[in-house]
Amino acid sequence: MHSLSAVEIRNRFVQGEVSATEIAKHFLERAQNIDPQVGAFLELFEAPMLEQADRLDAKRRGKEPLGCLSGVPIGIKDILNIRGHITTCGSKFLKNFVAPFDATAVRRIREEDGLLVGKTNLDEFAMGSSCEHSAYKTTRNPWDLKLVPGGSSGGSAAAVAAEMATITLGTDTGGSIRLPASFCGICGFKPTYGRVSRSGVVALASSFDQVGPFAYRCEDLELIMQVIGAHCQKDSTSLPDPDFTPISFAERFGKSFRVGVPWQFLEGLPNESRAIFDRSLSSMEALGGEIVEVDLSLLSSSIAVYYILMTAETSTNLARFDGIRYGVRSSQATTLDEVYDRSREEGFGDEVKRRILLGTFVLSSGYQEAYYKKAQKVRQLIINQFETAFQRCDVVAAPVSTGGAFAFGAKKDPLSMYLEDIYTVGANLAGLPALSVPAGHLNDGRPIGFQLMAPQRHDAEVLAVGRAFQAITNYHNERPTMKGGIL
Amino acid sequence: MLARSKKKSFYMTEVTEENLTHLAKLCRIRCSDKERNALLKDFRQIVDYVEQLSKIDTEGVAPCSCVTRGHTQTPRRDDICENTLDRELFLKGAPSFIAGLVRVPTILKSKEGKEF
Repeated sequence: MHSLSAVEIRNRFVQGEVSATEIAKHFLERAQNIDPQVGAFLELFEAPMLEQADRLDAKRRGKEPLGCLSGVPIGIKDILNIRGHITTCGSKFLKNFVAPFDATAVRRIREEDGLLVGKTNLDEFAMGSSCEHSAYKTTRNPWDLKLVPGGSSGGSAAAVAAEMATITLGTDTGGSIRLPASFCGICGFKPTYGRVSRSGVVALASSFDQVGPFAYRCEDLELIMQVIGAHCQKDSTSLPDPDFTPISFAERFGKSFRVGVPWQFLEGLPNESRAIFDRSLSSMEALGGEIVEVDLSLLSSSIAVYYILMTAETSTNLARFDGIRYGVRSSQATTLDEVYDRSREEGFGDEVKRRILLGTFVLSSGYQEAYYKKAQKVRQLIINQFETAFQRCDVVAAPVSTGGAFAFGAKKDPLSMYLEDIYTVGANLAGLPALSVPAGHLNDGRPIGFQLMAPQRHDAEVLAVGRAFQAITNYHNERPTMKGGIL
Repeated sequence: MLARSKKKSFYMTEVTEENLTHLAKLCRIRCSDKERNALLKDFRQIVDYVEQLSKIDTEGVAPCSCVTRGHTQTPRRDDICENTLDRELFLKGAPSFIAGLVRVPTILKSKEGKEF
């Protein structure tokens, strides 16, 4: 059952071939057996999932209308609030924070009868590209347990890859969905900025953050995007657009389909990764795509722009963690100043402290002009460059990362970790929808993905191309081998 | 304002231990001497890296103020007052509370040093 698509699970449940309780038991048992090795979940919703399944079965018996995610097991990155459950954000600071309300995306999943499997691991406050910065546990790559799953949404990617959930939600601020999707051999989708509500999602960098899904198949991404891709009053940056609706590749691109490639930006891509990228482009051509060159040369500066703007926003957003209103207050503190200082000292990990300090630096008097404003200007130039590129093509194709998943501890200094995001941050800087779809394996078996980006609001177009790509490729049907573990 | 070397170009920034201590105070991130030394090294590396932006010509470019296409500022919803979060539920998440309010250590003292 765990290898079925979400659409198939939903259909079997609706047709009465399987009960929600059977589905819940199957996935919980699987997670109990496999997750001790993978470490994808911070909390498994054993009793709540069975209760939810029981209610859903009663609903079916009572012939009540069933939601479009009926019976689909869904995991949630532990940065989205689920009412009554702890939202840790992978940080000690929030180890006892019980969410008082559901994130909008979670509420919508509940309303459509999706079954919540649990909360998945992440880099602390989503800051990282490997999932190594979680304060709680190590998440391992289901393809090879010696390797990282990618980050920051590493738990969500590993949970889908190891088939402990059929769909999971993550967040993508600079690549945090697409990079782990690539490393774990699954699909990961970052929608247009504002497409999915950020209400109830703990903020990292508000002008970049976007919630999106993981699954093996693009059709499942389309299924959940129909649920979460909707306007929300509680998020002022939520797009005032009609709900997400999938489109047909043949209808949209049957007559003309142009794929832009920023060749200049690919210089330095290792040979093996380049060969996989070229093969993916051949698949685009097989779909009728005409390959055209586009100039995105400014993307070589994207990491510099991103690490100025993101840390600036982070330092501002994380000021709210002061030990006063929620989270952990240091027991050592006797004065108000000590409450702030000690709570933050004890609650935050190294990477979080580093980014808050960097953000404070780029925003400090005398430097704001040189760093923050300059970066916002270059961001605008990058947006302009994408706009020009999209006049020549329907989608831009790029790698997701230079290589596959790396070993724990391999990226020792922060900058080398930041550079992992070189191919992904462009879409965040310009607010574009971007997909990572499985594209093959390196010689040693590590999977890597192929990235597709489109203009803002062209989410359905990106997923339609992804679905067409999967119709003529087979990489999404391969499953991890749990190298170094027991399957 | 932080000290900046006047001899070097606008972007050449000197990150000193003193600067870092001042920044840490501003954002209330306390760090030990050992942590500060490690941070100093990382900081210098990152600051050196981002200085590549100085080479990009941004003459006449308006800084990006809203990423959503067609908007120059973040759209705002109408300011309508509504009940969003139950007080009791909220207080459950607070580290310390009393009489329906969040409790914090004493801030004010009398001239004689007595706590109010």
